[in-house]
Amino acid sequence: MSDSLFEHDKDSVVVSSRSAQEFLSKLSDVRLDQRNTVQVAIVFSRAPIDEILLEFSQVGDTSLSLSAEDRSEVYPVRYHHLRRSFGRKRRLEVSGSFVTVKTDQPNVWLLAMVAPTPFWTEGVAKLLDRLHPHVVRPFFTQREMGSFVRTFEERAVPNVARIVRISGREKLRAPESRRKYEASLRWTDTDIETALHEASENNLLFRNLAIEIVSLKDGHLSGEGPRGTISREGYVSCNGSFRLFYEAVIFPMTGLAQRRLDFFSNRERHARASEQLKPIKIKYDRDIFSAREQVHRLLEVMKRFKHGSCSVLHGNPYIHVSIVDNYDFSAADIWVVNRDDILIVPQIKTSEAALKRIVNHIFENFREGQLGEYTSS
Amino acid sequence: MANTPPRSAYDHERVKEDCDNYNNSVLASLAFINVLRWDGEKNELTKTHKYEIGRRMKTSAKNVVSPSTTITPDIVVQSESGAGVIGEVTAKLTTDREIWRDKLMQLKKYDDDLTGWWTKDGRIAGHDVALIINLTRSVLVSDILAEEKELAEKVRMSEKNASADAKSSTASPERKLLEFERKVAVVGFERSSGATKEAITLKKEFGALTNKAASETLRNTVRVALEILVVEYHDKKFADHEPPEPLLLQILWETLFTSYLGEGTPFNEDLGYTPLRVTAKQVTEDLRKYYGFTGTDDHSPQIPRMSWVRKSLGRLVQFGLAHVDKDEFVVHYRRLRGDPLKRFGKLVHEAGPLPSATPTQPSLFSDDSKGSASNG
Repeated sequence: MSDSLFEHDKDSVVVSSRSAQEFLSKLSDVRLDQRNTVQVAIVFSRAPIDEILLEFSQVGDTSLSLSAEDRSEVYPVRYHHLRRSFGRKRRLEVSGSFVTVKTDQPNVWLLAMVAPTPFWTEGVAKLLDRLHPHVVRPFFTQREMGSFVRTFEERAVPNVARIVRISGREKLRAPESRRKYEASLRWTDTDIETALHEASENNLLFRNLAIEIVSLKDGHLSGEGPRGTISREGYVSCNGSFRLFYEAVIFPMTGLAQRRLDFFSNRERHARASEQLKPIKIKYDRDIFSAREQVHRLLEVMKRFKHGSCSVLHGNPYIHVSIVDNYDFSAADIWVVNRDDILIVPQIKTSEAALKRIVNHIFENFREGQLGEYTSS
Repeated sequence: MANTPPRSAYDHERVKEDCDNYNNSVLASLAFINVLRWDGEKNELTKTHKYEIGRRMKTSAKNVVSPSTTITPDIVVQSESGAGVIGEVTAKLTTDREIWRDKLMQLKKYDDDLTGWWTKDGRIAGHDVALIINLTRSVLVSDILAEEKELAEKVRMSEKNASADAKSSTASPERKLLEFERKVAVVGFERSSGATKEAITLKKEFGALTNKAASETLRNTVRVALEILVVEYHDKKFADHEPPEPLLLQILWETLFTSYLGEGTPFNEDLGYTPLRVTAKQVTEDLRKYYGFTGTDDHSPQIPRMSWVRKSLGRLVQFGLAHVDKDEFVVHYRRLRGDPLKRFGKLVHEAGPLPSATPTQPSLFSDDSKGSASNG
């Protein structure tokens, strides 16, 4: 990546941007100190994100305040100030600014910030939790995560991309384990293909991947280059080479996010003219439910659906449960009546946000599968 | 003060079993309809068949069981050519032959020139009668029918030969003969696990149907995948008999009331719940729309019945999860912890039978009169 002659600080990059593209372009040139990184969250929203943020800011909250400022005076770059206090014993606070950027996708937006990591983890990420289901964070599958990092590797040439940290969920192998998965955080230094292969071998589901770009001199990897993090929930941060992260990861994520949420949308029954159902299938490449313990395990996973309830109507040998997502009181029935798939039947009210949460819950806590439409066989 | 017997401990497995039996009745009804609709030549479901669960039919004055009244068979199917099938589904597991004989006698009310078919005058040339029962009882019931048929044959013979001795040795004069004018079939059903799919298995043990292809398919045993029954029949949740109370409460709480919660009904911090104003009529209509059958003619089913819904709403009042305000119920909607089916199962168990004084919207009683008066 080339250095700019005219570097920006984190404030001037907003003030001087006349368009979203210009803003994103300038993020590549922003001066970063040790504390700050460029961070971008990809979010999905049917309504313009600024309207939702404005509405939230007017409702008010003692622990989380939000205000908007249109410093560029040119839509779509808009500046939001966020302040959040948290912690029970010791009161802590994060504050800072982020920018909302409309993407090429009709319902996908970027929240971009140049800030220390806690501003994201304790500030903006918490704000997004509060805005759910009006604003939805996407999820990306293991295969999609693999595709992002492979593209990144290709575009990094002549430099080399190395995976330096992996956080995820790993399947426990010990038969006496009471838990099936453990959270894992691994510091490493490996090439992309090896990392993907090992993850597959170890049943490791990526949550975050940290990548470092290093140069190759005389056949040896040398120096410490820019680093970045990619999460399966559409969050990307980096301390340099933003353009590379944008082109290889963020941009493809926006298209996938739009397609994924579109896939989940318009399935609820009260919005449909026809009484025909529009169920979703999660298909597996083998008959995993031939093993009774897998039926039992999925049932236990569904009972642990966070911020929701689960009525077990049938648990063995087939599964029929009714799930309610308490964020917006969407309901869906889950059936396992075939050995190789899960059928999700939307009910009278079932939002795209709820379907995304249910599928993500299954993918993260049970097993990822191929998402598709129900087809009569 | 009268001594009340101590209540037994709550048994959730029993509640789940009751719900399961109910759901299996729904699925077995749909599986039978599916077999009748199947066009083996085209390898697809015919779109031209008319079918409903709980359609209201009229009996003739000659009906030996229920003359000149409305009955609601579990299943009514009419083919494009105008051939009909009336089906009755039961999950009964008794081995008492007399109970089954009584049930079969009741079935005779369908052996009549019923009106209410999807034709101009409500009549068709003819129909068959099918009893769909648990597979484990299908041989027993088939044996009873076979014996009754044999007995009726003997009686006829003896009458023909004018032999009083033979007549008295075969049947007592008080005992009504169990004979059907129309074709009658006994079909066993069972939920079964195959190598790759869960299904409803149907097997005909007795009799025949006019639809030869369907009759032969049922004779050879047929499995209909549960997935097809759920998706192709739009997730029907009700049969023509009352569901277990916890099941209806769970459906109301988790699938219908949640759909009423929108921007216009905010959570009331002071009350600790979201107040939802509903009427039994509105709730019943919505349940029928999404989970029952919604026909448009005079004979269209009224499943679920409003009396079931009123009972459930009365239960919510009893549990402190609703109150009555004028002609409406105000549901106190809030998140339920744990398994809602279990929660409602326990509440129903602990509360015992619904007291008659529990409010059930008297002003709306009349609307369900057809349903409560029917003999289906």
